[in-house]
Amino acid sequence: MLHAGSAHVYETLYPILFRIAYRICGNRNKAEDICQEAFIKYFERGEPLPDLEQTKYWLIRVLRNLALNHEKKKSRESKAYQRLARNSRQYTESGETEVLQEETRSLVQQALDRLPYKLRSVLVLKEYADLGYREISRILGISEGNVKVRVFRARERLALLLEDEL
Amino acid sequence: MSRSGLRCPSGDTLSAFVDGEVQAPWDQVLASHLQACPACLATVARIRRLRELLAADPLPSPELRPLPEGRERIRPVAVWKRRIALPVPAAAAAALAILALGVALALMAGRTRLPWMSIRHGPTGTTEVIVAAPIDDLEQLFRTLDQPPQTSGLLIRLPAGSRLLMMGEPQLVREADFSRGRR
Repeated sequence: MLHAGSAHVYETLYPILFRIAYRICGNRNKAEDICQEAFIKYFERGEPLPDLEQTKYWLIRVLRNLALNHEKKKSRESKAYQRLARNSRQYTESGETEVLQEETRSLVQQALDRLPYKLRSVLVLKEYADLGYREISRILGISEGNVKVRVFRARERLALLLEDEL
Repeated sequence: MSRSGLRCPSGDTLSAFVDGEVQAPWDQVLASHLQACPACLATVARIRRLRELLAADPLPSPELRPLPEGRERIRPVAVWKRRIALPVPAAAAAALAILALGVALALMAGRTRLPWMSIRHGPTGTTEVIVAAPIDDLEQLFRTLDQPPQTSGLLIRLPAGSRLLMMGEPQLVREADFSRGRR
């Protein structure tokens, strides 16, 4: 159900949410789907949140759960493809498709995609959502110290993957 | 260890410093340490370059889809209105079973609950109970008889050759006790 200010919330927060979703899942269409789903959940909750900042945190929290579900699904599909590879030639075709998709993504995004989800999600919230450690810890339900360590580890790994670019 | 003699902070602390997450006065202490420690300064510079690289990475422009109005909620169907898909043979078997159960219940309605006992009501108002109890059901028979009598004039016919004394159990004594003097 839409309420007064829904359009404003949508137009203001959609680009931020899209940026986070894209950096976490590395796929434009999927990122758009996740953002839509998050907004649908927000509008379905009925009562609007008092301000834009709280709405943003609420939406990011939902988005993070949706992205996590997507990650799990992707992992399952990847395993299924690997099983298929042992028995079928179809894998060659899907492998080619994957390579083509890989080429359209930037080196930075490819490096981000190679990070484990736990590290990637924290770093994306830091770098692309412009959130502090305290806010990230609240959204992810982990301690601030844990956020600090994960951000550092993610940076370490990313620096190794992007060695030539630094 | 820096030239100033201070111990170098951990990598995650330097990373937090870059993010502005080190609280005062430690941020000042760290800043002065960096001036004296090339190794830590190089780490911080590397983290800053990485941040710039991430920030400069182009993002595909999102397609702003029409404002979602929420999904149309599907109303749950009441249990008694739900349709059940069942194979015809299974449905026929279930119907037959229900019918058989109904018939059996109707036939048993007028009978006593005890399959080995039948009750006859005589025209003079007497009630005759005929018991066809196998020997191994005697215990159950005695337990039934132990209940307070509902009617008077009970006649119990035991099968011929029934042995009331089994394995030394003083059942005759018990039988006399159960009969409560009605012989």
